[in-house]
Amino acid sequence: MEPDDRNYDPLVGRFLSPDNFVQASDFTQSFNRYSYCLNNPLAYFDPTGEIAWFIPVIIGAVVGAYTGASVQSGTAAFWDWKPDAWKGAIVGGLLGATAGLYVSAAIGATGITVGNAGIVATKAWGVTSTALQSASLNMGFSAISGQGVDGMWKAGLVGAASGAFTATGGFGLVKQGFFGRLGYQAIGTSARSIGNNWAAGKPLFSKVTVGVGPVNLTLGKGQKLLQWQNNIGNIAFNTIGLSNLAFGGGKMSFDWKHLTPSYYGGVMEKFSQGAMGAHVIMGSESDVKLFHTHELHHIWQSRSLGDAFLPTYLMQGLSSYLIGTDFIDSVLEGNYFETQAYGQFWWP
Amino acid sequence: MKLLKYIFYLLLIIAFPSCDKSYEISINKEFNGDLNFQCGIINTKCRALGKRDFVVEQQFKLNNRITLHKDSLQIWYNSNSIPFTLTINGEQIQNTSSTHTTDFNLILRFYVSGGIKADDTIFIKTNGFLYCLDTSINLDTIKLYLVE
Repeated sequence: MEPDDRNYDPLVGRFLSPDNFVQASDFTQSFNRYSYCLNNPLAYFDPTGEIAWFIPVIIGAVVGAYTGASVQSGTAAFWDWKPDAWKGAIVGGLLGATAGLYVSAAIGATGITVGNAGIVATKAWGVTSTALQSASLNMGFSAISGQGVDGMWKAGLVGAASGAFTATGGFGLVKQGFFGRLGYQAIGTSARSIGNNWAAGKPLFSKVTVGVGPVNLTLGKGQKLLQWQNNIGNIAFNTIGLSNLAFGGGKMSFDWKHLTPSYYGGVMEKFSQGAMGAHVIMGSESDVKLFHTHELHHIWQSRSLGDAFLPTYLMQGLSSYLIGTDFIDSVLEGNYFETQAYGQFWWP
Repeated sequence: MKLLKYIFYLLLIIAFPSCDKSYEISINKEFNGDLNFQCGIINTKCRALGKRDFVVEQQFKLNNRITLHKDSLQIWYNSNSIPFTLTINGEQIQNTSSTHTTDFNLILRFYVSGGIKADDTIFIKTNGFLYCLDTSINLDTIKLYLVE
């Protein structure tokens, strides 16, 4: 092979000049700048080998920030921008950076390693993409709620922080046993809801969601402890599982170490080839049992990000699809949340 | 507007539950099989989650003493040796060898970073792994294929 940009010597299996970028600083093989595809060319491929994934993200952020500030001020002439143009710049910057992620994937930028099963996300890509996609989603929901730019820029920052917290396992908290995982969930949910109160212009502690295992509690003056609005995902999937138990001939078990119900058998046996682990574990009996640990990782991811988890998961998968792998493989497998659930970058 | 937001959330959640697809794995081009040998019967099944996480499940029904030598087991994919864990009746074994006289369930688990493609082959080399009494049982190399 002889890529356009750098010559490759097949006899020694090395490029003749070093790569300009260390694509993934969390992966030691990346520091060998003469190697191809992390020294594993049979499992990975690198279409161009040149543009690092964060370059389109930075370009997107800069272009987005400029555009956002211009829209906020009603003019592209930066000397005429309004004093609060920075709010538009934050909203535009976050949206532009998110768009840059998709550009990175579409052009096959480096640092997004691609295997037979789709993207096997590096930690840097995974944390950044989760933070940006969570930011964009939170801004989207802020916009739907009619909060305007004043709410959106705050919602963007809250979403980014919340996404980064989840993607890093609460900066390692998730590895600290049962109480570490409960803390990961409680901090993830409460910080996000306090942040969203700030974005909505409400008193910070007026309504605080605190996830405790399978339920999200609501704290705050005059608030009911249990509110369906804060448990949509939990209610939806437990309803499916309990219906299967009551009417479909299914079974149920409860993992006390993770406070997690599993639903399997019955109708699920006929319709499921696999398992799922957002909010509850469900699927065919053999898969639920064989892949229980994998699904538990999804349980805690979904508990930290709450009902924003599945939309963020979908966005992660779509960015993988742009790199040109099979749609199902991309969405279901080429996804940082999946890489984590296989035990990479998280608890074993 | 609030209700619309919740309905939108619900639709997103229901429409896209993060299903992890599992795949059937054929063992030497068969989906499962019984191996009859002097010390009993081994029933083998294999399944993969998302083309990356492989689980080989073996049920040993014994009528005599067997010994397993973990160090003799090797898993290869694309000329790369793949690390694995071996679990017997739910307990991960660390020792190089273990002796058994009663029925047990063995799970061999390994993870292929980057995944595999349909019809790719994973080789499990088993020479010297299984001894019936003190005689080595030659299982040859087990070949696993992912079936889509």
